[in-house]
Amino acid sequence: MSLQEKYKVLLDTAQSSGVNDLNYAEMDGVLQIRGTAPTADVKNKLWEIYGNIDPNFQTGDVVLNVDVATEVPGSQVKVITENSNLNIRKGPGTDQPIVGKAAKGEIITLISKANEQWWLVRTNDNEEGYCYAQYLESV
Amino acid sequence: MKFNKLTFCLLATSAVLSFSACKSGLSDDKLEEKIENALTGRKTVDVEVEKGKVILSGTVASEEEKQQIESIAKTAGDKDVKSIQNDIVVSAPVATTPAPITVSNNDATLGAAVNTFMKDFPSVQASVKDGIISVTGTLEQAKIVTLKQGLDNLNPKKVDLSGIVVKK
Repeated sequence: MSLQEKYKVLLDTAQSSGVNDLNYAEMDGVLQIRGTAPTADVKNKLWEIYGNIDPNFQTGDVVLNVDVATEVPGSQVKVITENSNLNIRKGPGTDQPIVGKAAKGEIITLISKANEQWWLVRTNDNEEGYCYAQYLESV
Repeated sequence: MKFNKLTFCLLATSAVLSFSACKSGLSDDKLEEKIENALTGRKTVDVEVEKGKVILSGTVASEEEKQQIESIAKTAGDKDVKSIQNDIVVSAPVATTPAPITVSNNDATLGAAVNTFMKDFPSVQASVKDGIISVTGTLEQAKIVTLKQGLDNLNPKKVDLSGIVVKK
């Protein structure tokens, strides 16, 4: 069974839920999937389906890199850390000094994206700096 | 005599009034309508008229089209157009084919990004070789998605989590 058949439900859902610029290809035995989900909910749903087909992602035959369209400069994003505060740093990198913190669940403003990992944000206390994108989700 | 003077006054006033009315020409609304009619079919362009000043806005595919619309507006409005402010934005048409899939082939860059990300997962260790990220250690099941999402975002060739012992 080809990988596209194995993950047919995932690819079909991506298509039907309006993932933009959806692109996928099998490369070196791994199904690479790219695209932009219209909302964070759609992205989460895709990950749920992926997790159902390959529990705990043990097979490693998919790389699913889908970002969320609503996470654009000027939009509000929510801090989704496990339980700790999110560090806000002077520059994009963990070697940069911490200039502020955002609490779990706090809604802050996305100013711009330095790259896929580091986003420039502003908190409600007007603290401005970079934080790790993984812990931000559009609202 | 008095009557004649008044009549003359009235006549003179109405003459001035009609003259000035003629000079100001079409009302802003009428002018706007006229230009909009001339631009029928150009759905991405908007026309506003303020005291004879025509403001064009919207988006078109080329500079040529932007200039073309301005000259259509000028022609349609003719003498009633005092000036034109062309705020139309030229934006290249969106590519219909999505960007090709890229996979990281620089282990040093990928490794650095992986290390940064893995700081939040102290119970597991990651290594990078030939674009493949391999992770070993023990991790709670709830955190596996976060780990996989973060690593997939770095566009590796593969993420191998088979070495992780999953804690329920």
